Amino acid sequence: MKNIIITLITIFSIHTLSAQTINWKSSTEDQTNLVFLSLGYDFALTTQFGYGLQLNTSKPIILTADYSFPMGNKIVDDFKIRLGGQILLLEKDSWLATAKVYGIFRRHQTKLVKMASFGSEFSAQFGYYKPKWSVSAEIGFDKSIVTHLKHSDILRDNYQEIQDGWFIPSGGHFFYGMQGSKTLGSSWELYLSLGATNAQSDDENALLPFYGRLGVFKKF
Amino acid sequence: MNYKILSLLAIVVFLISSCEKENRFDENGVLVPLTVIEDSTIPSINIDGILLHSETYGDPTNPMIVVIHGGPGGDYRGMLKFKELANDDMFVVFYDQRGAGLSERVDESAFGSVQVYIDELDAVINHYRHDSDQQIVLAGHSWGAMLATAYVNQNSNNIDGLILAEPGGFTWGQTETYLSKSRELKLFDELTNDFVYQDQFITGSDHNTLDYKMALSTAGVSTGDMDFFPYWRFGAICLTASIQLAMDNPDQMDFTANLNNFGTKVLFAYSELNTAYGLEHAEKVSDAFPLVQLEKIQDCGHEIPHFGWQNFYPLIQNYLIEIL
Repeated sequence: MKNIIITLITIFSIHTLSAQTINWKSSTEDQTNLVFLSLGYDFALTTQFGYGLQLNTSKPIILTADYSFPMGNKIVDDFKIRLGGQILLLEKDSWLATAKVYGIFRRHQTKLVKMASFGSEFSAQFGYYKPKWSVSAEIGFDKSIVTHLKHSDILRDNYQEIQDGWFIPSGGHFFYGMQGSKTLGSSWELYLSLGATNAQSDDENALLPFYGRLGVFKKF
Repeated sequence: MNYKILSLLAIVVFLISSCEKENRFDENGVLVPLTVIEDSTIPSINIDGILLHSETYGDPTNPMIVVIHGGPGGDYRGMLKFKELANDDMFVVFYDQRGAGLSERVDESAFGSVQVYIDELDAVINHYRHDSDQQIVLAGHSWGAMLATAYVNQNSNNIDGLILAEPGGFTWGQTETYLSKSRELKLFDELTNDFVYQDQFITGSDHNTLDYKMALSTAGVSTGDMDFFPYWRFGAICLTASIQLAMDNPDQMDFTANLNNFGTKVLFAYSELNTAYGLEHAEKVSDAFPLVQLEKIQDCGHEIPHFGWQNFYPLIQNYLIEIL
C-alpha cells in the first residue's frame, strides 16, 4: 500500500493522446503516402508508429492506421491500434480546420487482469499553417466504449465472486492541447504536441492528466 | 467512394457504442466485495454513526489486542494470523477503518483530520472493552503502526503494550523519506507504465469503480515480498483523501510530542527484504520511544504480519508474556 501512496505522490511526467495532425500546407501533390514515428505519453510512456494515405478527393482526406505501445519488457501485452482518418474541413488563407475520427482497439494485461477495449476518438484542430511550419489548437474526446475483463487466479483467489465479461460504459477523456510543427527539407516534418486530459462527467481524472508527444512524419 | 469508407467507419463506431449493456463497473458485488452496508451478514459495529467491519476472537475478559491495518485504505485480511493470539489468552479485535476494507464507504469530508482515525480507534477500544482494568495492547502494521503510535501519543496511560511493524514514520518527513525510497521511479519500467495505462480503459467516480481500479494498481507492487498479500477491498477515496490530508497538513502527521512519556517497552519490527526500510530507518523512527525492542523479521518484506508471521509470532508471544 505504501507503494501506491508514493506512486500517487511521485508525479513525474506528461500525458499524451496521439492526435497529431499533418501540416496540409507542406505536402506536394505527389506526396500521397506518409509514415510516422513518435515518442510521448499516452496514459503511459509510449512509442507510436503508423501509416497514412491521402485520398484523391475534392476535400483533402488522409486515412491512417497506427500502433502504439508503452515502455516495458513486454511489448505485446499492452497496445493501442487506431484506424481512421482526418479531413480538411475549412481553409481560409493560412487558417485551416481539421476533423479527425478514429476507431480504437486497446489491450492491457497485468498479473491481475487482461483488458480488451473498443472505443473511438473524435477531435477537431484549428490553426495557422505555413509551408514550413504550423501551430494549432486541438480539442477532442477519447472514449473507451466497451471493455472486456478477464481476471487472473490471483484476483479470483482474493475475491471468488469477481466477474469476467464485457463492461459498459467504460472510460472516456476529453483532451485539449496545442501542436506545433516544422517542415524539414521537402518530405520530413517534426512535430510536438502538448495538452491536458479531463475525465468525462465527474469521473476521477487520470493519475497523470496531461499529454505530450514528439514525432516525425516522412511524406513520399 | 472515400466518403463511403468514412461512413462505414462511423457506422462501426456507432454499432460498437450501441452494444447491449452487459456489466457495469459501478454495480455492487461485481468487481469488488460488498461492504457491511450492502451485506448485513458481514460482522460489523457502529462507531460514531459509521458501520465498521469488525470481528473478535477469544475471551472478551482477557487482555485485549487491537489489530490495526495499513493503508490508509487497506484492510485487516492480511493481519488475520493475529487471531492465533486468542489461543494465548488474548482477546483479539480486528476492524477495518472507515472507508476501507469491508467497512462503510464515506466521502472525502469524513477524513478531515488525523484525529478522526484516532477517535475511531478510541471508540473501537471502548466498544469492546470489558472493564476499565482490562489491559489494552495495540498492534499496527505500516500506516496502522503510525496510527497506533498517534493514539499512544495522546493516550499513553491507556495502553499497556505496543507492537509496530514498519511504520512509515512518526513525522511527515520520516514518512516522505520512506515513501521516496520504497518506490524508485523507472520511466521505462513495465510496472510503472502498467500502473497508469489502465486509466484510459476505466473512469468513474463511484466507490465500486475506484476501489476496483485501486486493487488493479497493486499489480506487481513490490516492497520485498515476492507474492501478493491477501486483502478484501481497497478504499480508494480513503487513500486519496488521507494523502491529501497529510500533504496539506504535515504538522498533523507528527506523532512524537509525548512518546517519551510512554514507559512500556515497544516491540518494533522491520523486515529483512524490504530494502527501502532497513535498520537505519527503523532505528531513526523507533528512537522516539524510550524503550524499544527492535527486531528484524527474516524471510519477508513489508507485509510482515502475513509473510513474516512464522518469525514474528514467537516474538509477539514473548513480548506479551513480558509486559502483561
